[in-house]
Amino acid sequence: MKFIVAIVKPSKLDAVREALQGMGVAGMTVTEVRGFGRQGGHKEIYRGAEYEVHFVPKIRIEIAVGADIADRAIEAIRDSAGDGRIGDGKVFVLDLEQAVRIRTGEASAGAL
Amino acid sequence: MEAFKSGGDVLFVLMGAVMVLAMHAGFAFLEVGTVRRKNQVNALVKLFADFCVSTVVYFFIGYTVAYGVNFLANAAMLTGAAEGSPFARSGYDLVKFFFLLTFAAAIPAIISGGIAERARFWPQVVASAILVGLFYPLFEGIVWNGNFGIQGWLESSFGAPFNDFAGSIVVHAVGGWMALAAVLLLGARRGRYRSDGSAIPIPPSNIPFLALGSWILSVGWFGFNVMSAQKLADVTGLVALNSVMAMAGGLLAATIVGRRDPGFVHNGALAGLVAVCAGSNLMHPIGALATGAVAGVLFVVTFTLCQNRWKIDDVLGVWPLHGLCGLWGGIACGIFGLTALGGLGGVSFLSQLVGSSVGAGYALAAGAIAYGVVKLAIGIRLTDEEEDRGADLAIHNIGAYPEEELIKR
Repeated sequence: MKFIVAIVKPSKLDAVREALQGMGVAGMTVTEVRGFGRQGGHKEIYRGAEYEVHFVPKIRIEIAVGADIADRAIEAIRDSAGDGRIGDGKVFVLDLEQAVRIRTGEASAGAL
Repeated sequence: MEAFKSGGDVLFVLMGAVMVLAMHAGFAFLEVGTVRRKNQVNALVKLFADFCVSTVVYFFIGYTVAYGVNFLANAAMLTGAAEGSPFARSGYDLVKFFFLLTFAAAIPAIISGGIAERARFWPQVVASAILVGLFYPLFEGIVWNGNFGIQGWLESSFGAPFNDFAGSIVVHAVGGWMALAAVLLLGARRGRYRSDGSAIPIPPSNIPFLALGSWILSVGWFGFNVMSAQKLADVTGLVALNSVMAMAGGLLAATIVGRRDPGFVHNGALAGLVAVCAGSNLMHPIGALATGAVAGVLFVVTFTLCQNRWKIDDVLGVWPLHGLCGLWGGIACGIFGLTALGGLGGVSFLSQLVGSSVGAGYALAAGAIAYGVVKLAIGIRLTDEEEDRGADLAIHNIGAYPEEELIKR
């Protein structure tokens, strides 16, 4: 099993969700986050005073999938979240040791 | 017919009073949007409380100082119904008091925006009471009631009395220059300037709220200016048109010079309106447009200098807006009011210059006395810890968004 964490632009969330659901990902967790990467922050100006916004808003998507479909899920995220510009985001993939469905106690792939 | 006429005047002035009362909501939301979230509740409470304190002191003291009239008579006398009553019929004098009260109460409302985020509550209320009860009406009476013969002296010296139709000087410049004294006595907010003197910007909490404040003020302003005629028979569309032209000039100039910055845009409209008050009854609409445009530029330039160069932490920029644009408006009346520039004339540049500068200087001194005395006697500033927590929690024990702030279980 793989645990995939994707940081994407807020405007891409719906497209990513559709793409992942379309390929059989059964659930996801979404968090509003802030951060910076190569894109860096940006400047805002109010009444002549400049404000540095160091952390820009992003969406963090977390999904757990079987190892067999992990590569396809990463592809789906790249296809749906990418504009080909700096700031598109990142995907992190971790090995997932265990998963348990709380209601039934099913474990491993059966819990996903 | 007589009753119809007096009733019409009462309704006319009442409408003005209600519109200027609404402007106080504008003052409130302009401040709510400009301060940080931790000081929003304080802005709302302070503005409404100041209005009501102004009501009481202006009723018992201020109005008598300005106009020599007091309301310590029975209601039949007050409404002009009783035989030999010095009061006009239909309660005209009472509604006129209400109208002029809404102007007087603008003084603490203006100051409030400058001293935001760090002033203690009751000391600020006491200073407001002193200013509205004594110092404001003293000058108001000189200009609008001919007290002490100063208007007569100006007229005999320079050919015309000082013309301040709706209060560029009497209300705005006076409020703005009093605010300057208060802001200087209070000192900058914590964390506003680095030790090397460079400014650290403090962001506004809510631009939609401050824009709403600017809109409410702009709409109510037409009561402030047009109803300053005070009699239905004296109403003129010139004042209305001049006001809207100055508003447009102020906003457009501030939009260009201020590079479409929403803070400059929304204050630019107000800068134009502040400046046109004095001469709105005399200028040609194109003169009003120019007056407003100059005010819009003046606001953007002086606000920036004030914050960065002069290190005056005037939170909303009330001294540039009301103090300096008001001063410009008083003088502009002596320029664009002249017949040579398409105005109605009957105005003297020198009278305008003298009246405007004296008003500003007087207000600076009066503000220094009122806030200085309160500072020495009881202190006007929150403790550092209270300021860091925010005036909302320190003074009112609740934040602006309690549901979000309290831990959900």
